[in-house]
Amino acid sequence: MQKKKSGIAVAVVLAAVILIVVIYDFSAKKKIFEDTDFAMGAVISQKIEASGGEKIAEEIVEKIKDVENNISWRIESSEIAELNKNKKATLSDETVKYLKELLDVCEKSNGQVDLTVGNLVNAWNIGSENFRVPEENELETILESVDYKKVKIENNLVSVGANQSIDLGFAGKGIACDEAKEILQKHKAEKGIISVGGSLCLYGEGVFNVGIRNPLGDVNDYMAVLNIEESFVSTSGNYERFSEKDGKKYHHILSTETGYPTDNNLLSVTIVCQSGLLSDALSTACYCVGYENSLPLLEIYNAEAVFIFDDNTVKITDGLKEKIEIKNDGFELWKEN
Amino acid sequence: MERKLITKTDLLIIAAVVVLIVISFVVKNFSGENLVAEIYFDGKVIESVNLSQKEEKEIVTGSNGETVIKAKDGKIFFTSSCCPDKVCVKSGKLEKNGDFASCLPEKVVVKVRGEKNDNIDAIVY
Repeated sequence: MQKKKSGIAVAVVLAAVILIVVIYDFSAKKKIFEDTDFAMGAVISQKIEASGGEKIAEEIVEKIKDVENNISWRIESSEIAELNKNKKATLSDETVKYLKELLDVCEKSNGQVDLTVGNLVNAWNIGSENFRVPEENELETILESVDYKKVKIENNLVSVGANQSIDLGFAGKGIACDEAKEILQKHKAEKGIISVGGSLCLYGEGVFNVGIRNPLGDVNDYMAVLNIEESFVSTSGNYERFSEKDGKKYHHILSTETGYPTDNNLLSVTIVCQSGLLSDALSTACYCVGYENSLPLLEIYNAEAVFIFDDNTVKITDGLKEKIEIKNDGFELWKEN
Repeated sequence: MERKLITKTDLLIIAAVVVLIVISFVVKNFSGENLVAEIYFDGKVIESVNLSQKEEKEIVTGSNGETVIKAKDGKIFFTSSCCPDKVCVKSGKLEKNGDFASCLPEKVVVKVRGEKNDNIDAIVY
């Protein structure tokens, strides 16, 4: 009798152990569709947990290409190209919506980011083979054309100043992330991690572990991990795109005050918030205005941020305090913020 | 002799099985990971290289057909490309799960995949 009981006990213990291991292994291996593609001059990486993940991923890439075809001034047939050419154009509801939201960021940042920065971007061509360093007086003339206040929107009719041209490069990837989320929602996907050239759409329940690129390391090197829930994340950094001339590096975040690459003590700014467009636009804005001036801006938009400075210190906003782990000893978190 | 609910032999069996499970779990998740590098051109996988088996291979691809990727000693990297910025070559050697490099002008991406879960879901940059 006792012998039998002990046999059952052994069997129960073993069965429990095996069950736990199997469940653990199974839960770790849910079916996830992964995809890599190109759009907006960037790599689109997608991980989607849903039935029909492949179809959803396809739809997202198509949508991002559509958005690019509407808002990239580099594409001759785009709405923005038409506006830049004719200084007046009737635009789609979608594009008007993006413009309005971005004009608001331009206003709140006192023009430190400005969507009429097209001529300036074009004069430098940083990161492309047409890169050059413009003359000082050339920059002065160009800066006169940079003023978001001259952009007028009346219903769908949009006009810009005589010499102005619009460049939405500081928000395009974030806009793409917003569109991706909408498609994930429409198809009731369980989870989605969409990267549009490094700007992220994190969709679904649970916690996402997001590495923040080490501004001093190579592309796969992250210096901290954010443990955050569903949101959008974008980083602007001086390592992203740059050109070199006579041993001097010129990064792509241009100052609307000087016309030169923004020169401050920041290596990168990462934004976490509930809008892709805002996460992207605010990362550029906060990089440009610096830490102190970023705080009111972040408050307006209910956004959180991680600032990495050139002395390898890191400052974070209150909402991320419990959610960040520094993974690289070379970086130090400011304690008193 | 006293009768016990679980005898010494039973304990030994349980211990042995638990140890075996733990060992197989550790082996599977923490070592001997099967790392595979996938090379994409224009969003499609054109080649896979097994890095764990130190497979050696040279792949030539890209929009202009001049982008060279080399796999050696369990690592994979861009050796040359006709792009203007050479960001791909500067990306360095890829060797762990989740590593990633791309040549945007030539539409080439290299990704390293393993079986175990990544520590992170994505990198923001």
